[in-house]
Amino acid sequence: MRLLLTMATSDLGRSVADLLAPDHELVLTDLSQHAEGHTDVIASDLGDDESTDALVKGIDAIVHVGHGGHFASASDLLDILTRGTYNLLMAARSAGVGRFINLSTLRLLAEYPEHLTVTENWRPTPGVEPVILSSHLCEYVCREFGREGGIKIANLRLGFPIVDGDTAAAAASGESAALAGDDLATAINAALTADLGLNAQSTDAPHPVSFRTVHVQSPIPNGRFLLKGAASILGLWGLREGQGVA
Amino acid sequence: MNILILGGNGMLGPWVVDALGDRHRLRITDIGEPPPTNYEWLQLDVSNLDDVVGAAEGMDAIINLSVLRPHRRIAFDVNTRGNYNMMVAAVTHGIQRVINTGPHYQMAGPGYEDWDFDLNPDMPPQPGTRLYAHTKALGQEIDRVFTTQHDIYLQTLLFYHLYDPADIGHGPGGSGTESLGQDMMTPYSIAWPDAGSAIRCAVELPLERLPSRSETYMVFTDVPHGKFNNSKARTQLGWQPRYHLEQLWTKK
Repeated sequence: MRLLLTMATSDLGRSVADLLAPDHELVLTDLSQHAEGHTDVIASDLGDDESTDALVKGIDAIVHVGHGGHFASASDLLDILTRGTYNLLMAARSAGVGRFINLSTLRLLAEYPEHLTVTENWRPTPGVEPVILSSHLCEYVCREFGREGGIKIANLRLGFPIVDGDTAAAAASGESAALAGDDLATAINAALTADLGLNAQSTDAPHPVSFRTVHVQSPIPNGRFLLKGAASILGLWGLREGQGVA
Repeated sequence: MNILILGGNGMLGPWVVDALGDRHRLRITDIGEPPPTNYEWLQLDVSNLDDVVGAAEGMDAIINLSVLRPHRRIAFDVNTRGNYNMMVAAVTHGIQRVINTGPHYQMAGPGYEDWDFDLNPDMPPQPGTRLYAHTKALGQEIDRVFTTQHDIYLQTLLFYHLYDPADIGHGPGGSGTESLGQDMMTPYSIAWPDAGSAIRCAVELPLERLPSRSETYMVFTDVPHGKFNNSKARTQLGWQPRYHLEQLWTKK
């Protein structure tokens, strides 16, 4: 697939680019201030203009870094993850881009004690720290586009920290919400093609479901977050005993 | 009470000033040029964090009337980030009372209005992607999140079509004259003075009478169609409309 990746020079953006490059044709973009000096990255501030339209032209799917991109002031973070995301989705929807993957964070649910069986159906409890609040609002923007249809949106809340390697590396990190890079790649690839209506609550008919949130951490023993959506929507990692999947 | 008004020079501002001016000390701000006024007045862009924080010093309450509709960048600056700046200002100065305003469809968007009845202010917001509704809804969500972390009481008053009762049916410029006797131009209407009095009710409601730190109200006059429900504004704010605007839904 021909994918557009935002925040491509950020740490997460670079990692995602490396993970997806073997299987996809990547178009990299980043904000002007960060794209400078990167000849393979298209500078875009995701404005309400033709340049954003041009950015999404001919793209099959967009992978948007909705958390863990660049360090910035509260004002800039809120701006890029609300207005920038809105502009990108507007352009994408108009251009007929089929799918939008928002890379969010499971930190939005980190206030819940670890012994609780937190799934995608639990309400996020963001704080007012700009890095968290802006990601929460980015999800809000995506959700409203998803509600209206016209583009399929997978909202992947990523585990933390993200570690290099495979599931075993995540397990070895000692972090209960860790996400291995290999598992991240697996999840994004699955989200690019998954039927987002799969196992939705309410429909037997051909369903127009166009927004789903999926929790994505590595399937490690006693992982902090249940992987119900990863199993039932993305078809990942089986219905594992102990992962809280019925 | 010392009250900071953001966006005080817009369409609603003068009515709010009328409702509050002889009962409270007002500091009125707006991005526009200062009008002739007897009140303390500051020219202020709500998207400027430092200016908003500075303007809030010494205040007991903030009323946010700022709004920007059509321009993509400025709508986010004002309607979304402006709310963040307001809440940071409230935290900075220990201001417990914040009153936010917006259109009803920042909460009850087309996903509700096109389908359901008895729409009420305690439903989860569904603004959709229309720029004005969407950016205002993001602003309200910012406000709500702040109330989960800080001792701030947020009251959000939702309006839509506002009328000067003296204008209705009286010649060019009279709001809604085209639709008189045919259908309501909108099922969600209120007279400007009643909008001002609703905000006064919110300002003067003892905080301990608020059931939670984030309460939302649909504020419109009593209309017969049952699409929306204004009972919470009546019961919790103790507000009553003086103008019933029945010309809007009565056949000629």
